[in-house]
Amino acid sequence: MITTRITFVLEDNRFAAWQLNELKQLAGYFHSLFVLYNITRGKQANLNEPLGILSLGSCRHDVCQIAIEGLDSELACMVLTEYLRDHSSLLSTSHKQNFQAKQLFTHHSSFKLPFSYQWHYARKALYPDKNAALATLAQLASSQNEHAIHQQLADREAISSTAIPGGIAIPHIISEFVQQPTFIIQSLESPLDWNSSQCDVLFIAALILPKAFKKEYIIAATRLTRWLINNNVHHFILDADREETITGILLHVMAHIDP
Amino acid sequence: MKIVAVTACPTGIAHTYMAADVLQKEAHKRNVSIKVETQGAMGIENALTPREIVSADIRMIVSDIEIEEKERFKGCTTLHYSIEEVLTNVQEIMNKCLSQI
Repeated sequence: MITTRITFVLEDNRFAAWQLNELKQLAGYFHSLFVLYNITRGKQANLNEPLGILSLGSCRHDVCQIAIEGLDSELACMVLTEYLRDHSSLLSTSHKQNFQAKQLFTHHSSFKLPFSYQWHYARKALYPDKNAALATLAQLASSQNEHAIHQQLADREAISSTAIPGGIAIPHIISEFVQQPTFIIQSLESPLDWNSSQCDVLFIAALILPKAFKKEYIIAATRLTRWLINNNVHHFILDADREETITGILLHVMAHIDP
Repeated sequence: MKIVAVTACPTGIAHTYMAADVLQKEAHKRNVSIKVETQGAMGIENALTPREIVSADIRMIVSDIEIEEKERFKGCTTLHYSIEEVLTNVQEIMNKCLSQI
């Protein structure tokens, strides 16, 4: 079954009834199943049930996603994307890349972190083993201090694996070798053994915080890790087909979502 | 019934708080009262008093490292678990704990 996704920021204080009726009407033209997720609130409802969507308690600047599943989902995605482009801030769509997303990340309060940071993203990274993955993470974090950071990451992993349920690894250290919080996000081409009793890893969210850390860094990092421990949210990142979807959702989680 | 727990991990920015969340959710699901002290990068939060530790029905230390102020648990029966055990199988851990009473 084909699944497409549209992720957007709600700019009105809620979904208006007329808007829900329009969305329901649009969805009615297709055979696919439409589910609206309010990622900020951790709730979901079918798009063809306006009362269900009203009960999500959506607010201005909530990040939402419509997942469309069915044989005509690609066409439906195109149609709903154009509608949502006019009625919200579009973050991403399966239909095509959103080149304006980067501006949202730097200017929109839904994604703005209260500190400057380094962000690295790679899709379908391929590693022979965990050690090679840690070496690459270290190199991305700081090419001048890659060996020292690699050692710090390996030392942390030696105490206990940082894999968590759901095929996600969260290697994390506090290091004197970075000056800013550094986030390295990678989806993997193939499952990687992370020396854990759990299933192999398909997604890496590495957090490297500077030694001279501020409270804001810890708050952002713990928001992300506490959100990731919830099995119900893994599909947002594991099934995401666009960089801007993953980046937007993770930044929003770190900026706003307290479990 | 009252459970008290301490969670701690080497870096203190991830597993400490994840384990605390998982324990709290599981306890609330079972309608069991729980207080979790976290020993993370923010220091000790939600600290357990000696009185709370002594009067609890179940005491847990969930950590991959030596916790701070462990002497508070001296003389009390305390269950020790790794962070991974709790994150991967909190239901079984809670069943084990509750069966000890």
